[in-house]
Amino acid sequence: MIEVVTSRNALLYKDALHDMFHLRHRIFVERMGWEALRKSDRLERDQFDTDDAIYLLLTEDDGKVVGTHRMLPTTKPHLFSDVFPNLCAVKGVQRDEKILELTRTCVDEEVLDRPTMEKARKRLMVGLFEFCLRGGYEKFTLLTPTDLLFRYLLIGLDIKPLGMPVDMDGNKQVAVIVKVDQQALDVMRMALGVPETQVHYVGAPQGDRLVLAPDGAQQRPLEAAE
Amino acid sequence: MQMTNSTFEFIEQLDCQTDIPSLINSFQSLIGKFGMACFMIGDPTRPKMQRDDRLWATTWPQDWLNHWLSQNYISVDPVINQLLARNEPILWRETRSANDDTGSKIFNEATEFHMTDGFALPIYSRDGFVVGITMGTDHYELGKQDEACLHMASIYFHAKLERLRAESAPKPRGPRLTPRERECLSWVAAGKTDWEISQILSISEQTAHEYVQNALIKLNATTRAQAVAIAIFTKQILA
Repeated sequence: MIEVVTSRNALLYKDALHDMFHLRHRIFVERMGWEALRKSDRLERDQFDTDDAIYLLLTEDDGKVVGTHRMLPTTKPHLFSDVFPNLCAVKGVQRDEKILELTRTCVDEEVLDRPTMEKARKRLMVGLFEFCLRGGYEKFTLLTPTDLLFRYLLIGLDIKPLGMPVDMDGNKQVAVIVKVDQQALDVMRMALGVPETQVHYVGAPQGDRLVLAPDGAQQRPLEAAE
Repeated sequence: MQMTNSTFEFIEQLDCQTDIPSLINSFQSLIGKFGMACFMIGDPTRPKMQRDDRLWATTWPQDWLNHWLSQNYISVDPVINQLLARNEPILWRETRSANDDTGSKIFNEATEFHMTDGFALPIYSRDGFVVGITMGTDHYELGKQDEACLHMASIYFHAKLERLRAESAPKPRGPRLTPRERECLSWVAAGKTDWEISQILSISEQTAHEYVQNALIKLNATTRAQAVAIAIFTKQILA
């Protein structure tokens, strides 16, 4: 399942967050070679891992963290605003309470076998849309390879570029903004073959869900299945 | 910056496009701003059985298109071959070779239609085949930024085109065959016997026979030829 961790419930997820930072170090530094992020404690954290960050953690039944997203509010400092504004040069850096920035998406490529890994990626993508929709977020921005952009366009997602593609990590990547609505979640579920609800707000008091929503955003009712 | 803005305008107005001809016009008008005279998008790597599906949209001059198709240039055009081989954006001129007689012939003939140079891009299709977009011009003077614009516009154009093509395809009617039944029936359509199909698919002859017979029953056909015809008509196998 996928769990949502914010500063409000982080205490309940101390071990899981530790595992997540370690997973990020193993994937981004040790596998992908982002040496600037290397840490002696093998926990990859940067200046954006603050109380404002929201983490989606994909966990196995025994609680092991096997995948993650980091979401940053675009009204606070985030990568596009502080590190890569040039990637959004055409449309400008997007800043809105209802827009999140997605970074640090990864699954545990060292532990999962290939089919499980593919499934994990799909569950994380569907979970992302579930989380945004439930939390009242209308869009998210991210840097994505152009061939992935094409695949998601084919599925029927509303994705618009913010700037021109650049060469990064050995392929062409482009900053984009993705619209989130019920239709987007439905097509993602169908195209990726993930019909089940992924995001579960266990470990957090019911009321704490509200803290995930920006001011004025509409809360969606929990689905009957939960 | 003007070209970038035109490209973003093209991308943003795609949501309003509901039919293929106006989508093609809109893309043609964009590449015209980059000095490109015309374009072709297609899927030259499709297996022979799906040959009809290899050319998707083009604004090439009709005479040149007819000639190009009738000479089966899709299989020998150096731009297409290089595009598939190198799998990265290329300029037409980079594919010219003095040793390539066929290629030189195609280049010379294209010149008569005011296409002396151009730009071509590989893109992956839904099922992993390489799709190519090639654009011709009589005066090529694009910078890196322009090429990046055309690349991104092509991705959006291609995705929208595939979506509109899928929407406009006739909806299949009648009973549905399983993938394996369709596969076997496709080989029947290609003139193969049960034994040949069993060898191709590494299954037993009996199993191949059962798949075909199941298809006949599902399609309410009395002969294999009739089953093939119905399956083609209902778009379950390719002609």
